[in-house]
Amino acid sequence: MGRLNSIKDLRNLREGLKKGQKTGVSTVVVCGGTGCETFGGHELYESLNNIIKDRELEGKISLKKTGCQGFCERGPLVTLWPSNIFYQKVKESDATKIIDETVTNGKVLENLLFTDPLTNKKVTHQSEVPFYKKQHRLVLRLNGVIDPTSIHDYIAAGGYTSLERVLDGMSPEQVIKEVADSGLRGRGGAGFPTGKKWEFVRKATGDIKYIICNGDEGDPGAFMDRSVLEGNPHLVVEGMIIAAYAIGSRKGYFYVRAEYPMAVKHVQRAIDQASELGLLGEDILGKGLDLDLEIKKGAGAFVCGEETALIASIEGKRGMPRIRPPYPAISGLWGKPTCINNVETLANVPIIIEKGAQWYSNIGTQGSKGTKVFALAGNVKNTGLVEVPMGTTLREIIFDIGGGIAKGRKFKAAQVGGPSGGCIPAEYLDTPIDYESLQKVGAIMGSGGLIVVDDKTSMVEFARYFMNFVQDESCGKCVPCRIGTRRMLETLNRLLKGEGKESDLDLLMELAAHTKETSLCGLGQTAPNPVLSTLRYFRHEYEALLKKAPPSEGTVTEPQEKVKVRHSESAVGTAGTEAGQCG
Amino acid sequence: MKKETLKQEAPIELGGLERHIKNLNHRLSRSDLIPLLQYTQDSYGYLPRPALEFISRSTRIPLSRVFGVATFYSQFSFVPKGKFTIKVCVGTACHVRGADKVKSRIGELLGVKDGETTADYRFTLESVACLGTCALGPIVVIGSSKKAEGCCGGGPGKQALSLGDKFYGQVSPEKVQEILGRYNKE
Repeated sequence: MGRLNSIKDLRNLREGLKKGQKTGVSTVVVCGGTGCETFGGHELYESLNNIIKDRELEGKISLKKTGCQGFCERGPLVTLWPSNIFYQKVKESDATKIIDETVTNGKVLENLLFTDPLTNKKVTHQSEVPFYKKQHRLVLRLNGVIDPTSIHDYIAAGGYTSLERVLDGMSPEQVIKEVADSGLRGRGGAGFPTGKKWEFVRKATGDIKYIICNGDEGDPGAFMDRSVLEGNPHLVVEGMIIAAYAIGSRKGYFYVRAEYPMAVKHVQRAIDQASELGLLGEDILGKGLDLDLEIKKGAGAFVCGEETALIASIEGKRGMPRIRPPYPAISGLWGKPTCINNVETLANVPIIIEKGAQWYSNIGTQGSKGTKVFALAGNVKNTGLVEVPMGTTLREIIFDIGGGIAKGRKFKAAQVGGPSGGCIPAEYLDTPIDYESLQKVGAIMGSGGLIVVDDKTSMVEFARYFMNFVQDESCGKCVPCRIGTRRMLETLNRLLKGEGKESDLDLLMELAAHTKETSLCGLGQTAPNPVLSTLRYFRHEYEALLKKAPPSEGTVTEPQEKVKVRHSESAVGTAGTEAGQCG
Repeated sequence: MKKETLKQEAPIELGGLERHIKNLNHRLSRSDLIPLLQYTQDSYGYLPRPALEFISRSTRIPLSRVFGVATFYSQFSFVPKGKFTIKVCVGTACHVRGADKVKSRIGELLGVKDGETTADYRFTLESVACLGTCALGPIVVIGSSKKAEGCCGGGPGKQALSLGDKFYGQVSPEKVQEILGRYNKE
């Protein structure tokens, strides 16, 4: 690959790649996300490859592996172009038939089609599958279309046009204004306006400034950042270059969890390819912009999603947060102005530049613009990645896209926002999802984990699960979090053993209020949320434990006959920043 | 977060670590510490004391601090692990689908508890908070405890990966025995 020295070079390359795309060639697309690979996606790919070679069809059929397409539950997924036939739960043994019958003879294999659970009809095309039909895919638009390991694929699909536009006459201030006008807010959980954050860093004084992409997706139950990094790493790289230009940074870091080896691999490859083409490094596209990107792997600590802890971790220290202010925008990595943005936030940036702030701000609600990617999991039929406009209701996500509750059971609660979030009961299913509405019902947006639980789940046990998690992950620096979470966990354990006292519920409320108000960072400030929200909506389950012996089967209790909701004057809904991720 | 002590240990072969540091080709700074610990963990399957002493000398970071950083992160271990590490995801989505039962079944079959290694050093059982494959819970991941050698490390300065790990999705307690059986032969 030759180095691109100007915007013209990049345009020429894109035109050349577009022209070079073979027309009239059938393409077999295999999903290569971790989910589909788990179900044998890679073996299927190899087998398709061998058959194409055996039949000497290389010139007629091209085979492609993409990133996560989101419908993980039904993996491995295969899509055929240009017919757009969509096969699910494909086995290695189906490879011959796919090539010989569908691709060569155009015969649709009925047994591999998706059956719409509502109408019981077979669905032939991907766009007709309800799981995809109701989504609005911006960030995930190219997941499942491009090969994430090929920069050429990304460029041919229109990639790096936003960078082109930025370097072709936009000033950093104009870029910041565009992002500010779009209404984009941090997708890591706290929802801070991105344009404003960039402006702070731009205005901060410092000889060097840093840009960090926060990919430390520590929330158990969240996997959208992983899928974006695996499925379309160049989108995030492009967002980072634009951000670096806007704030005036020359050095950036990707902080990615070590638990995501494929994400690390794909991001590293994206950085290498972009550097080779001169889209990273010195004098990018001849416009005098320098940027060097480097990956830092996390080492397994949830608290490192908090921005000051993440900075400490990059500096080689124990990942413990510090008091803010000064905010990282003023004094961050090695005391220099630092901008930390979440993966999904950065992935939105090229889209905003391409389509314009006006277009982008027409999607979503008054205070929350654009789309949000949710990781839908738990006791729901269609698990996977879901991207919807802000303001979509929980009911639409869980029942229309998610297909409802698995195994014919009843919906009990949706847990939004991971260990920092809260449980939302059935009566709030019509709440539109945006930053403010979720806070009102006692949850938070968080990074986008959405776990659905059915009527078999004990909510007290569920709250205990989260408390156990945050207690374990509390870094121990500040007393309220270290001791508060432990005392709450002990109280919950006591209740579940059937040894609880009447006063324990008040004790929980008191501990929760203190931990929330006095903890140092977002982890402690939001740690009581699962307890508070379950106390608010499922207090009867706590009270039932006071009266009788605990359920014998651990996590499972008998279904409640009727969900009776009592509101308590809890501190739920005043959540501060989220612990899992900031930015 | 973890209670650990650093015991005296017999000397070990440090050539690989030495070469790795040389290949980095820059003056070591404080921010190299965690990547070096990750390299060591992947090479030896744990953090041997002589390796930590070597890192301390190379980076000029006191051993006490190296130890302090290592104890903070759950990725690091101070005791040797088995040939294979079994990670059971206990993240929320896996939890609500019964990950605990899968974990206890594995523990029962191997006769170990969470974090322990079998007497023959074949398996180490661990639980992990979330592997981000929530749609397929409960998830069990089995892979070699030593990662850096040969598998997919990349060149100097590149990230050592662990793509050799095998993911098992929608695992039930009944499936556990068959899955473990595949690793008993190797």
